Amino acid sequence: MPFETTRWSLVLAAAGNDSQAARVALSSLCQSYWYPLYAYLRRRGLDPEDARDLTQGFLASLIERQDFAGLRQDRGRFRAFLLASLKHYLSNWSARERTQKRGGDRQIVPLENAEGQYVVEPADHATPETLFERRWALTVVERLLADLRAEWSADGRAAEFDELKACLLGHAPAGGYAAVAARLETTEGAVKAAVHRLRRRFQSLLRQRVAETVADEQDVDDEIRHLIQALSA
Amino acid sequence: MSEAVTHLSRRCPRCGRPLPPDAPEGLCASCLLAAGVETLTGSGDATSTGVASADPLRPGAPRLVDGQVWGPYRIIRLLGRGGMGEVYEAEQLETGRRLALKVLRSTLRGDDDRARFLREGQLAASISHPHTVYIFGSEEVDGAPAITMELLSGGTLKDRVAAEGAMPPAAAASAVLDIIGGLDAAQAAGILHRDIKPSNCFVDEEGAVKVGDFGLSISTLTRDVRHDLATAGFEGTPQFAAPEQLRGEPLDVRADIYAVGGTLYYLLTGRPPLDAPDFRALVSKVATETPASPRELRHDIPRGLAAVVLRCLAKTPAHRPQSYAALADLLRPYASAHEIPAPIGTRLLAWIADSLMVSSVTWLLMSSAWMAGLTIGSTVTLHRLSAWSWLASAIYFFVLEGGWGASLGKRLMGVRVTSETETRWWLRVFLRTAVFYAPTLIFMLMSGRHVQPDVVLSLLLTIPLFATARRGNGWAGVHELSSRTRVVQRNVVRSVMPIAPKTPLVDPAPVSALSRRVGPYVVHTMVGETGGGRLFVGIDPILRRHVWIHDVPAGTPPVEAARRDIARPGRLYWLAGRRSATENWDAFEAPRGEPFLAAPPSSDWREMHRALSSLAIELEASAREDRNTRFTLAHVWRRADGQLVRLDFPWPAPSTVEGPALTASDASRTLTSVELLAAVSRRLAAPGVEPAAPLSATRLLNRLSSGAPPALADVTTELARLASVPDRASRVRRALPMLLAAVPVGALFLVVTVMLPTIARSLQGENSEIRSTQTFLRWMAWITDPQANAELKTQEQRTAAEQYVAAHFRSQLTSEEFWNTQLPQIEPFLGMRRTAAELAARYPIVSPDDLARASAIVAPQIQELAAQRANMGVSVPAGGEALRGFVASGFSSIPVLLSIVCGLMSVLAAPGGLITRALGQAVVRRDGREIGRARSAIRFLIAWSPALVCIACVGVPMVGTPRVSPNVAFVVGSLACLVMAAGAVWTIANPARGPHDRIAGTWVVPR
Repeated sequence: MPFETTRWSLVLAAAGNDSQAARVALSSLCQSYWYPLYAYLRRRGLDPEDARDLTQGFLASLIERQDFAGLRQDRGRFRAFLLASLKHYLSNWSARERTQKRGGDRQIVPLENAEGQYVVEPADHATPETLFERRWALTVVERLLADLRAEWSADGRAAEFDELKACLLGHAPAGGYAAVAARLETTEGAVKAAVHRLRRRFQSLLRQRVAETVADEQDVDDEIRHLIQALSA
Repeated sequence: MSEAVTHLSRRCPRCGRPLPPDAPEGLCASCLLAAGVETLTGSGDATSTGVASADPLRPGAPRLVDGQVWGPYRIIRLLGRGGMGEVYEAEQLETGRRLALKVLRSTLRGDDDRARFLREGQLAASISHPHTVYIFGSEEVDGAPAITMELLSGGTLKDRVAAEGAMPPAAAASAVLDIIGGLDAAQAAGILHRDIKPSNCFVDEEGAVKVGDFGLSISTLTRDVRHDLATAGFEGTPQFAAPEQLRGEPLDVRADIYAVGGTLYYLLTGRPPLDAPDFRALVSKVATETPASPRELRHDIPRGLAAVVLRCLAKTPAHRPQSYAALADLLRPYASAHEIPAPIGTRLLAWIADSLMVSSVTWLLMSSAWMAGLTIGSTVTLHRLSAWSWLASAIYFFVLEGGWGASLGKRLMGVRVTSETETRWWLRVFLRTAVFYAPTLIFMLMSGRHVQPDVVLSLLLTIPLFATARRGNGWAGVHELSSRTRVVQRNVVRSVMPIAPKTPLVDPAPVSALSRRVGPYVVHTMVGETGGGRLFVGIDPILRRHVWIHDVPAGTPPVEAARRDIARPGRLYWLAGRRSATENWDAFEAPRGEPFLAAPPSSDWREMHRALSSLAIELEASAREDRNTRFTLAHVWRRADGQLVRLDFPWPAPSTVEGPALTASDASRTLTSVELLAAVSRRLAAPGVEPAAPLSATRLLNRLSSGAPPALADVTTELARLASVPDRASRVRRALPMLLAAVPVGALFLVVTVMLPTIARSLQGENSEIRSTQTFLRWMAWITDPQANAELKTQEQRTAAEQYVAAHFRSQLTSEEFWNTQLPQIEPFLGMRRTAAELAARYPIVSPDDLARASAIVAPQIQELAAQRANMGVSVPAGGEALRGFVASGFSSIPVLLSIVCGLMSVLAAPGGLITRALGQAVVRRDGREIGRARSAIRFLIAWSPALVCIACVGVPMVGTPRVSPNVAFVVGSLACLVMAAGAVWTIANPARGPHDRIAGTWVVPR
């Protein structure tokens, strides 16, 4: 299967030239992955308001102005690009800018309940970078599961999804297929097939989502490994 | 999310870790991702996910494949994978040199990863030690950073254990001592390794172990390398990591010591001290469980060694050995390279000490048993009891040598019993003891005597056992050969290697675009002309360290392959080189230190030994490569740690060469290996200082500079032997002969302070008794035969005298015993006995009034006898007094004289004395040579002179008695003994030189 043009490869291809398609792609990526940036800034010691402003300001400069100052072609991953750019942006961010931005309230991405999410972050010794990486990986998984749940709910199979989601770990359901089949009033074979379908869909979505953030198909496996490592650290 | 929050205590069924509250859909995100790339099977429609690696938690395929040409290298094979990179054996295409190439893993591409990877290189490159893997350089190939290191052909310790099983205890201890050496150097450079484990310890061709993979190392110095202990998560290999490391607490050297203990545990048993199927379980195990003693897994591990391992693995850092030096001291006795057979002389002295101890105790016990036997009327006889005393000493040796490895005498002499393997240790000790006592037992059975042979006879019976003793078999007797045990020296001198201070990271500031570059290096300064080229100091800008660049004329042949691969402490590592039309140079390691010719002389023998042995070992190795190599002193570099290095080029002309035994031409004169060693030793030896080297060292140095120098091999052998010779006289060994002398001198002290005054007092008492007897007999003579005497003229006077005598001398009158003594039997006193009986009967009681009256009447006679009494002593026979004086002076002076005579013979037979020699010590003059017989005798007599003065006072029986009064003897004698005691204390405090040594101008040094 040829590697499809993904959102990130589109952005990279545009490489700073004003391209509507790239802008939309970038914007949609940012909609998904803003929280790790916010968490990073908070862990860096910024207060919630500054972190919000900065995240907004950063994404605005990125999407609207296509400010790709931090972009380097050899950095083929959206994740790494985003963090490096944010660091760059942070270093140029001054107090003057801060006061200007305040009250401007441009909503590039809706930072819903950012602080509410951050306060439950474990208060461990993780560095801002580690936290960013972990949050990123969790965001990938969360979005995947949310998409999966949405798909199954659309088919009216939300209950089934709840029963079977634990099988995504590669195990048989707790209590065995027969018990689940009984609860769902179906056959064991049907449950097995559903589990397999669920896992396959999960795997393909995973590759798809991760592929969106890398420039090259060969990097997908590496990126998944990286996400696993970020979660294991 | 809410589901997860309500199930805080839930764990992931896949990995066992607790689920965080924000686990998506209550599932472990990391396991979801892992499961997301697993190959699906079943249901007939298995589809590959397209991910190459089946297990995503393991690193992907290696970056490079065998045979691939990668930059300037050809990959030969993958050697292993470290924390950050893959290590390959590679060939440098330009030179054909084989080296180890560590490449950053393909999955790690961030700037942080690169920085960390290079930091490893910088840290490791700042250490140069025979037991750390040497870093040649660092470069970037195809955008990937790579570090080149020395290639060690022996694999890792983990490989070795995997291939050959657990290592013999002595080999394991030796390997760990090597590791400690390397880590000690790292610590001196301010580096904690943090990931010591068997797979990070590499074995070279000769079996030496080197520490490598400083991938997780951190600098404990804050200035140059970024590190953040508080925020760093766990890194390392959990099976070998200290509890505090697993908890993410701040670490110090004791965390590495824990890992060293874990590594030793692995080498000894083939498994880590604690293990568990997953990380979490392991962390809790490491925090709470004590590992099983290695002895439980393998019985032939010496107890002491097992104890050291467990000490290293203590949960609390404070309970572990606190430094590498302390740990090395604990391990050294168990390392194979450090066991030195105990000399026969030392063993003989140990045996004598044991025999004296055991026999005194057994005799004491047996005497009391015999006494007890007498009182209860038992038939036990002393003879029969003593026949069993050999059994007591056999049990003594068996229990002490089995339990502690040494009897008390052996402990005193610093030797212990060992065995190649500790399997069936008690059986071996039993066999050893049994064979040792077999001749005694056979003798007793054959002779039919139930008598314990005395010390001399035992010695005669034991000597044949040592017929087999040879230097080659460690002086093993029959009992040792049969039990496979040996007696070795217990306290081997610590051969502590001073660690060269860290080579500081070179400030990259001088490196600019304008700097001249040679290969990967930036030229810093020129040192000078080397004859065959020019020498520059360069900088490796990536590793930030100095290198020496030897710029050679065009046409110079390239450095030979054999030279390039040399990895010996005595040579510089060759780093890189080029031969082309425009560039001709070789780059070498630039160790800290100074050219030997600029180094100051040193009076410290250890320092000299270190310098000479390092050079001798190198010269011997060089001679194996090329027998005809010639050197100059300018070819010698002195490292900061005192070891000498043979340079490949003469150090550019030193401006001034100072030194007493060195002419200017010596610097450039070509010398053979032995001549070079002699020149080095002459230059190192500072003249006019006290001899502080062992006698054999002085001999070796003298031989080196003599007309007939020894062969190089003999020099290295002797230097190796000298490594285990202490550099100064030992207190215990000095104390031992003095302890022997304490017996006669102590007796002398007793005689002058206790015996002589007592004798004097008792003699005085006896005299007064004799005198009173004589007075009594005079009275009796007067009473018995009044006619013969004009004193008692009247009856009144006679009666008064009788009453006076009856009252005053009643005991004599009635004493049968008195009248049976010798004196009353003499002619004039015969017949008085009856008179005495009559007197006693006539005056049973004399009233005080009567006595007063009678005394008044005979007052003139009483006065006369009192006057006579004062002069009477002369006529009293002095036989008793003489006899007692004879015994007393004999008791004191004979042992002392005997000691002096024996001692004199001993010091004449062997200058300094036989015991001193047997104890491995020698008495030397200022120039370090052993003293002659005359001085030896003088020194001895000086030491004993107070005792001689004392004897002069006390007197020597049969030689005539220059008698002095007991008071004078007391003062002079006790003073003399105290002077000797003070001298002994002084000598023990300053074992190199006692007061007699100062007077005689001698020093005591190890042989």
